[in-house]
Amino acid sequence: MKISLFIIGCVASGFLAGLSGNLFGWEVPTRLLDLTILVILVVLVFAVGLDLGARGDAWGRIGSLGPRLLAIPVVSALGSLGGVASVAAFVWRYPVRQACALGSAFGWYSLSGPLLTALAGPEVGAVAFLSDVMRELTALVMIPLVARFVGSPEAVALGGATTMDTTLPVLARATDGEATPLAFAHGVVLAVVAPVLIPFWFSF
Amino acid sequence: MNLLLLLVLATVLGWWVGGRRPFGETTLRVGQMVMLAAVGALVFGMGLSLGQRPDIVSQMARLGLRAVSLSLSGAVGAIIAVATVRRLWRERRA
Repeated sequence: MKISLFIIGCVASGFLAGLSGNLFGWEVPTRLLDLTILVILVVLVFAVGLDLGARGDAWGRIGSLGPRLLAIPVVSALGSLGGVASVAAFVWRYPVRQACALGSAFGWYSLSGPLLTALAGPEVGAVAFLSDVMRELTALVMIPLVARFVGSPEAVALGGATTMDTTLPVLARATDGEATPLAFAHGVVLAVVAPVLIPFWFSF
Repeated sequence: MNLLLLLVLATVLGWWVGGRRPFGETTLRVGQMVMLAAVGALVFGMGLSLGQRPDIVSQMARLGLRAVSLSLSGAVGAIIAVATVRRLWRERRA
């Protein structure tokens, strides 16, 4: 719970800082911000690897996952795609191919926004970008709670494609390192699938 | 691919350092602190990049409800699918 509150506080203060920049006419250059985020991501992934290795039984845990290492990412992708596509098609009346494409980014907003803008127009691109940003923020806030009250694999599924970078450290902390190997594999599989799956829906 | 390589390198380094007392415990403690600080900085950066884009802020009111419903349906769909399959596995084993 403390981690979730800490994350909400950081996002909110960042967002307010950005808004105040709009009001008072200052701005952090986008390239500098992207570079900073990339550097922090590298530090994060390194720290997670160090944590995983220092616990001593990392390789055993990866081996013990067996077929689950691939099965859980596939099931999670199907569930996520089904959830988004059905709400987009039946509630918001998007055409089926757009609805499926909206569900195929699995939280990878830097991919879905630009790609869907190019494939389906700026409005679908903006919805994809916002929903994937919110998916990542939801995951960051909810992972500690889902890991505690539902289970570690379900907490991994919540993170979508972000479980190999941004949400990986939160998962590592929330599950005491137990879900780290699965989380990384889950993120890699979904990150490989997403760039292929989004254009696929527009190819026929 | 680069991230995967970095993760493997860090894991090997962590495994090597972790076996040497008292460095193992220190590595775990420092690693946890670095992770929390980096996550805080990362989400602050995400909030900042969203807040300083007027196009996104202005569309947030119009498209926000759609985006929230889609993000929640994806998250809930993934959780339900994984929980169902795990339950089936457990029942098959029992």
